[in-house]
Amino acid sequence: MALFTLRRLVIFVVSLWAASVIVFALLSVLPGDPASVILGTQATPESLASLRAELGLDRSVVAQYLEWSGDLLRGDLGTSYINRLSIGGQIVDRLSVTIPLAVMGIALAVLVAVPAGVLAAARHRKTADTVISTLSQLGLAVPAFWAGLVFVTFLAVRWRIFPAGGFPGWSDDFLGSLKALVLPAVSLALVQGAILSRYVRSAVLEVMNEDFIRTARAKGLTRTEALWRHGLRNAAIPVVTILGLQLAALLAGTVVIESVFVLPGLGNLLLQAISRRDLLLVQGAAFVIAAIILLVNLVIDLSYPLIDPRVRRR
Amino acid sequence: MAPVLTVDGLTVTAGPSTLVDEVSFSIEPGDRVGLIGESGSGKTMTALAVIGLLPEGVRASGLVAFGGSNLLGLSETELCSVRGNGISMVFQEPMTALNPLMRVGHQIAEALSIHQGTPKSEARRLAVEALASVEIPDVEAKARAYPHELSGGQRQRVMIAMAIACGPDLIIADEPTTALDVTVQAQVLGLLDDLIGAGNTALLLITHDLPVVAGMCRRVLVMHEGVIVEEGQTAEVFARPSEAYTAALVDSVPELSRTAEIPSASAEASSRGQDILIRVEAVTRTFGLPRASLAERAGRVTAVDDVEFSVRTGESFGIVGESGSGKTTLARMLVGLDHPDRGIIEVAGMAVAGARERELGDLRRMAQMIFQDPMGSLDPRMRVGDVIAEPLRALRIEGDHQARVAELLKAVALPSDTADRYAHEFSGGQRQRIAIARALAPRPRLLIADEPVSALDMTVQTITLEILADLKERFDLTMVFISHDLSVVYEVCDRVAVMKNGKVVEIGPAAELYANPSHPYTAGLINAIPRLDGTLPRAG
Repeated sequence: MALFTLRRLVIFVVSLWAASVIVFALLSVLPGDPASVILGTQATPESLASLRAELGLDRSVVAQYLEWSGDLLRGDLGTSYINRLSIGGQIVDRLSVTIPLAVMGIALAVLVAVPAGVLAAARHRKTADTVISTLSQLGLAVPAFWAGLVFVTFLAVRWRIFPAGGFPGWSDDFLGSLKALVLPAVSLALVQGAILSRYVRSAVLEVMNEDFIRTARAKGLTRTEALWRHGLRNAAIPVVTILGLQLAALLAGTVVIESVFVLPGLGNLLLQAISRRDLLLVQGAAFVIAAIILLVNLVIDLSYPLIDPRVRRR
Repeated sequence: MAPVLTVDGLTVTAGPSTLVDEVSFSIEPGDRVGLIGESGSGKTMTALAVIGLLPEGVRASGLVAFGGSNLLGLSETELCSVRGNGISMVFQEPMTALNPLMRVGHQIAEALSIHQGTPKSEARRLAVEALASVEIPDVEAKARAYPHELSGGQRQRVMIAMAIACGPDLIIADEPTTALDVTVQAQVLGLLDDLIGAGNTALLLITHDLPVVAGMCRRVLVMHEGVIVEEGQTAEVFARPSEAYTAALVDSVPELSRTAEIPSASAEASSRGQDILIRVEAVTRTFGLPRASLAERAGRVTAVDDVEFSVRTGESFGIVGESGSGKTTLARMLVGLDHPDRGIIEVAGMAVAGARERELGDLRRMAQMIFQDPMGSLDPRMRVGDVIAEPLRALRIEGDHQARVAELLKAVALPSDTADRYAHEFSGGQRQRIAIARALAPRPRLLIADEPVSALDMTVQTITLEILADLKERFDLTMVFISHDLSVVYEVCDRVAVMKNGKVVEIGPAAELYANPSHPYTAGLINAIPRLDGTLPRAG
């Protein structure tokens, strides 16, 4: 068990390092010189050269990476070229929107999809199964941003139940902030929930065909009792894996949804930074997103031995 | 005494097809009844119909009288109070029949708390007691173990402990020892015999294995294509079967399982050619184990340990051993699919051990392999003709492939239109014959058969072994035959090597080795074989 945990931690650290290299390398091969972006088209070669020296852009790529990653280890993501603000501070600020949004999205997806998937499996080939399967098919076919627009049209513009966009800020208006996240979270949850319910359904169906379920029923448990006591935990193993992948997809989905709902989240920050060629900020935000996804997967990996005793010995 | 179970006119249907047709029988309290038949005969469906666990879409009608009511008419809740309480079941696969995520003690205790409302701590104590009664060592610790931490035999003991926990009137055991090694089978059968021998519990034992029924059951029912074709006292039925089908089943029982006496040496052994085809010298193969914890070093397991033997041209050489004895690793090394850490393997003068893949072309042409599972080893999306011709293409053997395929199909007694069909259209026995035809396609001199008949029904085993023996003579093959089944090896092999924990403990001419085993392990294996005359083996 200790060995298992240690191995996962090592994999996590190595992946984190690899992510930093990839993020840095991708941005350094992109065309576009931050110095010429800052100074604009009128800049003289001399002023460009002096700014490049000031920003450290005249040094080798390796030296630049070492400096950036060294600062990273100290928790310092640097300062934006454009607005001269701390990048770490900006990201933390934006995460206070994006993380609650992602958590609400995945929580909604799980809360709806798991019971729906289990119900569909328990009522295999009956009406409930058909209805749930059809709905999930529909959920899959609808892109999240389009669903978001439809929600805005009806629930915000026409019926005025939720705000159409914007974010008042947690400290100013907590309830209002929560309300502002509802529609975006539902839009995100729609697609992921549809996918998840299908996985839950097939995982439960598969488990219910296992020999040990037959043993449980031969012992005197009803089908439903066998499902609750023996089926669900076994079905959870493949579902947890999918959940980890879905969180990554959902985080990527926030980029689009945040701009549909004009939310000041990390995705939004990333888009702004790209359009302003604020490369250092892009680098920092991309790395933080990668780190969050890796962290989620680490947590998922470490949860396996809690569910499945067979993993503990590996 | 009133019967504990009466089945009258039981019919099981799945859509338009009838799986069990008007079956009637009854079981007295304390009686032991064997239900025998081949796969697809409807014996398992009969059992599942009795306890109301038929798969979705399968329906039962008729009368299943137990405890004063017709089980077929009961609601799910009423049935649940019978299952595990009045009637309990033991299933075949001890690996998959237990919940992998639940401690075994808890799984046994569950049966008690469902039916008798036993409080948790009391149920736990009784579960430990039940484990002790099935002779599991170190019960306190084992009750807290998960199924994967137990051996196959121990898992099956847990299943039995679960079945007897509530003191049922009837236990239905469906192939309870089929997945176990022969010595473990002997132990588990002995245990089952003791446990129900004392009380009033009746047993319905479902199996394809006639000698097992002979040792365990007073009465036997013979099932064929959904119908009970014959029933009576076990000894009587097996000695003088009145139905042709029963006679065929009895005939297919290997010679070694017929009587407790080892038949005297048939003395035809090793009049074969004297030149050596396979030479194995001091071969050792180890595998690394995953590390169990930070404190320990990663261990290694020795799968094949300093093995030495040779096989002469034209010989049938048997390798027997229980699961984990290293016989399959050895077979894989003989054809260069795996390589030893140390030692020499030569086939027809070619060095196989350590040879690189592209140096093995000649070996691949000369030595072919047949595997256990005829379902999994044939590509489901290829026509049978292409499957058989594939080695010819792969080894770039020129000639009329179509004619060769036709010739091979004829040799394994399959119709010529087989070539245009797909593997799933055939029965297990037919598929294994297709696998044999494929192996013979490049005209090999050496055939290595790894458990070739273990997945087949008894009568099909007999036919397949006859075909193999015939082909061996006709094509002048040398054969290495690997099996856990001593009786089968006895039937086909001239010389036999017995493996245990990676070592060859004994090697010699088959007749001699079986009649006078010199190693106690060999003697134990032979003694553990159930016999048709009803002597139930008692392995230690």
